[in-house]
Amino acid sequence: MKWSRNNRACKTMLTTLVVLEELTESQDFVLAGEKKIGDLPFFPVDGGADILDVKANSFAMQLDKVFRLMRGAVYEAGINQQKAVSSLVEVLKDKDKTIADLSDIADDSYLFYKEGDS
Amino acid sequence: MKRLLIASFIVATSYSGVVFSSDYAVDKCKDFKSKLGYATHVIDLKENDVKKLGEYCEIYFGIKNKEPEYINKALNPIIERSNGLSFLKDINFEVKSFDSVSGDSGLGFSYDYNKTNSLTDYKYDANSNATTGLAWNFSAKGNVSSESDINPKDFLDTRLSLTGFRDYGGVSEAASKSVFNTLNDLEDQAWNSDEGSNEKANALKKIKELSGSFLSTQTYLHYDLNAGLESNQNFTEKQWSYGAKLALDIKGYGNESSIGKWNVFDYPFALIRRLTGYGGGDSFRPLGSTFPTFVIGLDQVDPVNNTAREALGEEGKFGRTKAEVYFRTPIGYVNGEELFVNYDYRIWREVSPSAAIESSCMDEFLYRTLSITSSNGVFVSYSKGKLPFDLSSGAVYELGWKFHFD
Repeated sequence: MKWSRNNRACKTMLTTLVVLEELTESQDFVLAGEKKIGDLPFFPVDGGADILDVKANSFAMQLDKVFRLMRGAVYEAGINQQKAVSSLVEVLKDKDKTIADLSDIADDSYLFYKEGDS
Repeated sequence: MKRLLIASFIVATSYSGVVFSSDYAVDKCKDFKSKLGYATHVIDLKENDVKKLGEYCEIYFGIKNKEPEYINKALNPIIERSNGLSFLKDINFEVKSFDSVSGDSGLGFSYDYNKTNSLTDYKYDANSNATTGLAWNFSAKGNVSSESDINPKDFLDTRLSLTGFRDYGGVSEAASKSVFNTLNDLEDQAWNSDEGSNEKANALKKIKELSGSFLSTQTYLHYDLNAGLESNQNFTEKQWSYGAKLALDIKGYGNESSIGKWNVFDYPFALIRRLTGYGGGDSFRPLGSTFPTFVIGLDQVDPVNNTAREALGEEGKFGRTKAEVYFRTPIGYVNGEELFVNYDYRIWREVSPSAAIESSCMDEFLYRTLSITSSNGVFVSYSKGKLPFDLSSGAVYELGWKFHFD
């Protein structure tokens, strides 16, 4: 999937990261797709593995709740909360992955509200 | 003025004696790049080819000068493409340089493997607005240097755990379809508008206001029972440990976050953000989203080879508490790069140590790192202390990337 203004998953991911204070409101849309997970405030640059594990899981749970409860997303067929969160955690633990990668993995797990209409 | 403030802050928070990595590869390729105009004219190279040649030049000289950044740049594509080496990606293999203040330096690598498999489906309890889950986890991590004497993180840890979590709050109630529609419309408006336009700013402001009424404090609690092997990089010192661990991550979001008001760790940085105008903010606002994360644990340690303890006649098992606090917060922008302050503090303390252990200062191990990182991967860090097995306490500067603040 390409990072695109026409994709609901990309837009919802970016909006959610702004709402959760991982990005500022001045964030450029195009550049956001290339931004690395390791450059987000939640990512523990110098912390131990325990800290990274807790922070990635905690943040993935929060993304899941925002997508479903605030943005009306539902799980894709064959996906449950555990699978969706685990997929997000895998990307959130990798400092070299990008927001586009995170959006991509979220798009595989969630059917975003009115996805395809945008 | 903003640059000056951030520069002053960096100088004030940096320790004296910090040595920055010289950018040997870039310096070498500056000459190469200055001749590119001539090269393109003579052999008709395309601009992209020239750019690639410049990158190859930097990688060549970077590897020649043993700069980890360039070695990793060269290795990563090989690891990606090779089936035989794909395990290096799974274990997050990374080449690093280790430099000590005494002037010794050398190359090495770090690895970090983590595999989690769920034992039960996640369960949601509507009454408490909490989700719980249970899993097993295998992890192996460590830093290995070409010479163990210069390795500040001479500690390998391989562990099997039974883990569980409980996640409360974060979103206080489910929104209605009308809210879903409104947020979608505002989102379209925000991201389809011109960058920097009032339309984008207004749409995002409305999104944050509306979202704020649904967001609540999130509390994530992790617990586990674990067993593992700890050793130095030569395995000349090793010990088994069995224990339990509890971790807590609390986050609050938005202007009205009560957790933000309690985040005293962020007060100095909220002031810097206020002065630098970070995020367009014009108020003093500690962030609830950067509240520190805490880990505490209790272990029973069974030494197999621990020469330092054996020399004191201490060969039996002993109890040990451990704790870690991690904090990271943004402070501003320099040349479009976001700057963060990161602080990590780890402590191991023996339960009821003998007088011999206490007098040898082996009852407590403390390790802390302060760093300033940018969104461009540039960082300056200072580490001090010792980890279990690393009995030569001292300050070591890890220089993994360039420092090009101007």
